[in-house]
Amino acid sequence: MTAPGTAKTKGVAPASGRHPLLTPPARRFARGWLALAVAVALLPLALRSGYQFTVLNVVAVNLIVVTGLNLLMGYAGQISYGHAAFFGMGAYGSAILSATHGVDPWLAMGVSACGVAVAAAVVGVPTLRLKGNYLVMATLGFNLIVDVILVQWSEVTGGSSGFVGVPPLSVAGMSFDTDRSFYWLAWGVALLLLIPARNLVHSPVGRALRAIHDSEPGAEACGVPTASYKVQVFVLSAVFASLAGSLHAHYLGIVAPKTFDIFKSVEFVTMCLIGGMGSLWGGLAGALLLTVLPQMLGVFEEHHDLIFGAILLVMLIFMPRGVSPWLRGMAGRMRRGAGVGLGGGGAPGNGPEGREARP
Amino acid sequence: MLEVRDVSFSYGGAKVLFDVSLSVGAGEAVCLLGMNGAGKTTLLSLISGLARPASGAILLDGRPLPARPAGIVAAGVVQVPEGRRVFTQLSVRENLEMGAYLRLKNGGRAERAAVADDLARMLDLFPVLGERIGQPAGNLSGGEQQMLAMGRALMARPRLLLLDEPSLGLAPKVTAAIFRVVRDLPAMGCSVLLVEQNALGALAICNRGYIITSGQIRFSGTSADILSDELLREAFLGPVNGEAGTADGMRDDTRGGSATQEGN
Repeated sequence: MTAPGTAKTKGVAPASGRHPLLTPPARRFARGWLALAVAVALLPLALRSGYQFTVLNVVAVNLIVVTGLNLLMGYAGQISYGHAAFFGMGAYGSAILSATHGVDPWLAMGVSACGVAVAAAVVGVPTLRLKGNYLVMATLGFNLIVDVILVQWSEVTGGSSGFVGVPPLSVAGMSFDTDRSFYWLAWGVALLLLIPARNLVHSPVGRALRAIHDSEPGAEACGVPTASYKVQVFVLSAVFASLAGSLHAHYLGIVAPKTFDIFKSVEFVTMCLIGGMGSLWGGLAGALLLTVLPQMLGVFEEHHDLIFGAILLVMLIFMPRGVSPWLRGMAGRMRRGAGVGLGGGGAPGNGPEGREARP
Repeated sequence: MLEVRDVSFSYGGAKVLFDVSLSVGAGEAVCLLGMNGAGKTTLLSLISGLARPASGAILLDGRPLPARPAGIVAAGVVQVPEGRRVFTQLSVRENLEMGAYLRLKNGGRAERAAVADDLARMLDLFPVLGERIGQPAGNLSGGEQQMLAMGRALMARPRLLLLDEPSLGLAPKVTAAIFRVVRDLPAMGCSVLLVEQNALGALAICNRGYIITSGQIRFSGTSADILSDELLREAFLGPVNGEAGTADGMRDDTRGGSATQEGN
């Protein structure tokens, strides 16, 4: 096994009574989170047009969905191509409740989220017993059904032309109806939702989810109720999508079914994948990259779905664990390749470390 | 402690267990021997709650087992699944802590301290794991993964450990190291039900054994009885080196008829 000379024992502080789960990662997250918050606070100084705000607002909304989806896909390892449906149910729920029935937008947002939670539980119980491709097919099917309902049930949803006149969210007389004001709301919510997501990931339950990802029978043997955990995290991630959908609706004032079709689901999954599944910061990178790029590149706009499909394919084939682990692996390989002769750089040539150690 | 009474089970139409009975007492190591498809893994999954028997009863201390796998783990019956099933992307330490999942989740401060103690004990039991504590379990060799799977199961502080073919695919030397640990478990307060194809190795470390073919228990007795019985040796344990001969397998099929694969 390991040669005795290289044995590196990071001894297990025996019987120290210290909680084994509360460790430096918490501080690291806090630092990253603060950095993001500061960036969000300072960015408006550099922004010129309302359009730039619009793009960033969409990034924030997408980030909320991707954060939730990451809990499901990146951590628990359950793939969903149905999250645009939950996104849409949140949006239409908010729109119909507030515009048609005069419900307060905040309340509409909450009621929609509760409704989506119930729907996700109903969908999740049978579908999450499926694995791999079958789960993909089932969630995709669900998204198609919701899409058809949004288009066909036109007296309620406004049909294919969409639903107009959704009132904006407001707090104490101040309404979030401009690009600038909504920027603060959207990013505030996105930042806020990162915290419970992070806490879940680093709780014993989060570890159990990662265990389910690696081996369901193994997790079951440890006493993890795998079936119920999968449904719970599915519901939670659907609620994230629903909240994002509500924000989207109240922001734009209009919702259209095209925004919630299966291609949107593919987009969310791609964002999740590209940043690196199982990393909340990766989700930020994915949401940022795949929201901003299409705005900047004309080709991207025209052949949107095609390019997203291509990215998804390339990612799955060449970097199934996302960009960031792949980059780290590449960096390690280059260092090992070039560093031997030069040697001056001073970087200890141990390659990447920790959990991501595998190339 | 554990009593399996007249348990039957079928996958769809194919019956794979016929009125199987066995027991494991406190402080005992018992092995269940048989060839591929005999029903060994199925029986273990019934005990660990992954499937329900069609008929018969499984009792722990005279009472029926809890219904859910988590309840069974909490009651002290823990399985080391076939094929190890370690969490490849979690570190060795996280894997071990996952073994104490229910204890960490339900217990307070004192329990957490006890888990930390147990973790140190596992590293004493399997020193290799200590050298790899921060690495992803996927980096471990097969033998190390088997040790990790056992360590993980022991972190739950089981009273009964169910081991499914721990020697599968391992070098003899590694198998021997693992068997030594298994042998010492009863003295540490953990009874063992060991499922094995490596019959001679298993009998050497167990008090008693059951031989199962085609879903039926054909023989049970002390390890010495089984080893000394010429007919049994020839029929079920195969030639001297303990490898099950193909001729035996064919004979079983013609006799038992409905023996089917277990799907793994």
